[in-house]
Amino acid sequence: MSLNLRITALLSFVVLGLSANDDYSFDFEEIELKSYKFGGFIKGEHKYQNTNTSSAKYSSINDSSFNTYIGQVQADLDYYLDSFTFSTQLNAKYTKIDDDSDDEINAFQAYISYSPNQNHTFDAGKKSLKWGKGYFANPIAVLDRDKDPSDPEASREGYILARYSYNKSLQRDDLKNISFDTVYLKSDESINNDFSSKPSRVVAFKAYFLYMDTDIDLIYVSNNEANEKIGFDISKNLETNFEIHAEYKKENSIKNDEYLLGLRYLTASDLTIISEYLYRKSVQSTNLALYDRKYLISKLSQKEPFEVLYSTLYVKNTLNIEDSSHQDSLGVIYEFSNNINLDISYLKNTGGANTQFGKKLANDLLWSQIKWNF
Amino acid sequence: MLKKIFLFIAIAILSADANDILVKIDKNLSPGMSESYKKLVNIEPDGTKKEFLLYQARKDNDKMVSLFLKPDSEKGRATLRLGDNMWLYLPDVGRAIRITSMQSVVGGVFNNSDIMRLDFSTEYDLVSQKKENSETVLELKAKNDTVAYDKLIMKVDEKSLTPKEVACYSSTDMLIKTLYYKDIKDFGNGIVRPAVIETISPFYKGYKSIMVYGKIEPKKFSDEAFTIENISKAQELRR
Repeated sequence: MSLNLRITALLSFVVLGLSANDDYSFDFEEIELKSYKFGGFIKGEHKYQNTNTSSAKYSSINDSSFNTYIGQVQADLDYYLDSFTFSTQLNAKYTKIDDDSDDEINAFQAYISYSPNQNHTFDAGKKSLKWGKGYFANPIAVLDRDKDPSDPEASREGYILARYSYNKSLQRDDLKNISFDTVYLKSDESINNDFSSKPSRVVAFKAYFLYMDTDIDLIYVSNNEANEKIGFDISKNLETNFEIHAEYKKENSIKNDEYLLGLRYLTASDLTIISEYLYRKSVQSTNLALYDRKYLISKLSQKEPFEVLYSTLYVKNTLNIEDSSHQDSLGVIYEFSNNINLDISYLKNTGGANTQFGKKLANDLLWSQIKWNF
Repeated sequence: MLKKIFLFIAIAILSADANDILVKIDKNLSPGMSESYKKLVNIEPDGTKKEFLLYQARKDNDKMVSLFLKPDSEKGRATLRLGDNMWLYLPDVGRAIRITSMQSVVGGVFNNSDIMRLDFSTEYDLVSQKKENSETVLELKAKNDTVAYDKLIMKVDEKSLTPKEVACYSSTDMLIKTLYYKDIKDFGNGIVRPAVIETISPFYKGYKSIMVYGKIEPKKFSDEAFTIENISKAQELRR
């Protein structure tokens, strides 16, 4: 027997040996069709923060450290009836910072969708559109609430709107798919009152093209305040493990330009690098997480480090290029087999006394989160 | 000159015949337009298991949607493959983001390319075909560098004309993983194929992943079912 055959026989024996206890069964009850889909999560967070004594807000704490506790529950329900889908996403959040507490209950989404076929979709109700290709920020998501760059994958509350979308696949090598969206959104004291400072009626259009294996979106947003916005986004894989994306938005009334350039790269060792540069002509309200003119945000995530399955090690840096302050974090995520995941990270703010991250109340913090999905 | 032309024609015919076997294997593994349900099980060295349940819809040799039905932490996630393009939809993120074929959305030994595999004949050319110990052994070479594995060595079950074993190699000729096809089953509608695929990898010592097919049947889908506009509605393809 040749060496190759012996190795093959040995491997086959090992595999067959292991197979003896393997479960090849299939539970057909699990794939039965239901008229509804239900899911959600329960999440608990704790932040232990060391106070920045030179912060202007220090007097509000007057202690060397403080604790923040957050409890959050989210329930998602979709109900299917012929060509109609009723979708709701309810979110309840409780926040306690030392002795002060706050709670809020919100319907993040609640809308009806009608799709007579795969070409046409009508949506009406509260919905988050999530336009854009950026991971940490989306300049062209003008009809969405702002993303939290510290938790960019979190669900966000939508606005009440109506949308019609037409979608068509094409039998061409270059242009493979097109879709056109039309959106109507009204805001005043009684509806979407935080969308705009003045009552407004918005009509927006988005055109999508999958052209030469590149995702391209063009947007045009018009409202009665004569605040027109135009923009585009683009996303393409240069290699199977290397994606680049960009977004650009121009607002006519306030002469503001904003753009984002980003990349996502996966190494052979399963390290994912996401890096994005955000630029805007005018400084925004300091209520926003990214209010200044220039930022560079990067995140490196190593999947299954040291061969620990279901774990991820990550480092993240948010640099305010204008004032050179930055926020850095190092964390680890572990996904247990019972739908629970644990995320623990250490975060440090660095910068001069009057810089964005240097003047934060917390100098550094230990953050832990446990989340159960159901 | 005439000799050369005959030689060229002979090679072309042989090559077409050779690729025919790949096309037949593909046809036996899955109809061109179909839906399937499969279970993925990651087994750790200490015996701990994590299970995933997937629904998959495919059309032609370049379109596929996968939807996670289980576990609860992954429920509603969907992946879309359109030729060389691959996107991942996360319900919380609410939109599709581009991903790569070498990534793994489930962890463990299977990567996206194993789970979202279309046809062997779409991604690979047959380089050689030989008989070894009463088995047919095929050597396949990736058609381009967007394919996850550069070379495959496939042992074929001659009776069912389906793979028995597939060894996957990198461009540096390093063994990345081996897939074992097992438990040939009649799924109806003339589909007779292995119901189980097991995989081990030298990079994950002691770990193993299993894919168990529960149901495969022909089903018609529109082209628009395989677009990022509709990836959030993958659940509706099951109806």
